[in-house]
Amino acid sequence: MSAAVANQASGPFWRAAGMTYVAYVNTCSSLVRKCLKEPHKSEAATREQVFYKVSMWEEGIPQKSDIREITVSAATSSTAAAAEPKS
Amino acid sequence: MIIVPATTGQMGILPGHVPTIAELKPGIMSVHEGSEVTQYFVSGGFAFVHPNSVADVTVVDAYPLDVFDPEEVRKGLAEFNAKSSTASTDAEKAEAQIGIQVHSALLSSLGLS
Repeated sequence: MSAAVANQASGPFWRAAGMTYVAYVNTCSSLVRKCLKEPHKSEAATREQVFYKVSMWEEGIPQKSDIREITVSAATSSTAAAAEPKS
Repeated sequence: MIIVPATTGQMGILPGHVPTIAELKPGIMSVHEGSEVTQYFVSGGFAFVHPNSVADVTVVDAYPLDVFDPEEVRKGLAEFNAKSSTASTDAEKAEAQIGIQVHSALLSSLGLS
């Protein structure tokens, strides 16, 4: 408990718990979206998923690229964001 | 003028404001034009005031207050209050605290308790 109190001086509570700012703000936003009325709620749910493409480069040449997905979901799971490779 | 919910408290920004970068917390941003006030609930982000008196407010989500469901907000607050008492790991405690922070801010923004 005292370690957590000491940590608070070194930043916000979510940073002290090992969360990054991006994870924190996306968690907050996901929770806000869950409190919307329809039709806004369904429209906002489309923003819960993010796709991105990762390419590894070797000697100036891109190698095989990977399309991945991040699903931001708060409240039900214990992790704020999970990244899964999907090729 | 706009008033933004900075982590350090409500911050009013008028022309001539000192250049600032302010981290925002979930809360109400109100835009005052003459006697008209428009309010938005923002989920978090930053407010930048530039030297030429241009202010940018960059947030993940912003909604007018009439699109929220008060029952969902109350349910969420009760759920996270419960999670906060059963939380054991640092990550769980932080998540519960975030849930409480967001739902309390929403509830008070809607003028409810």
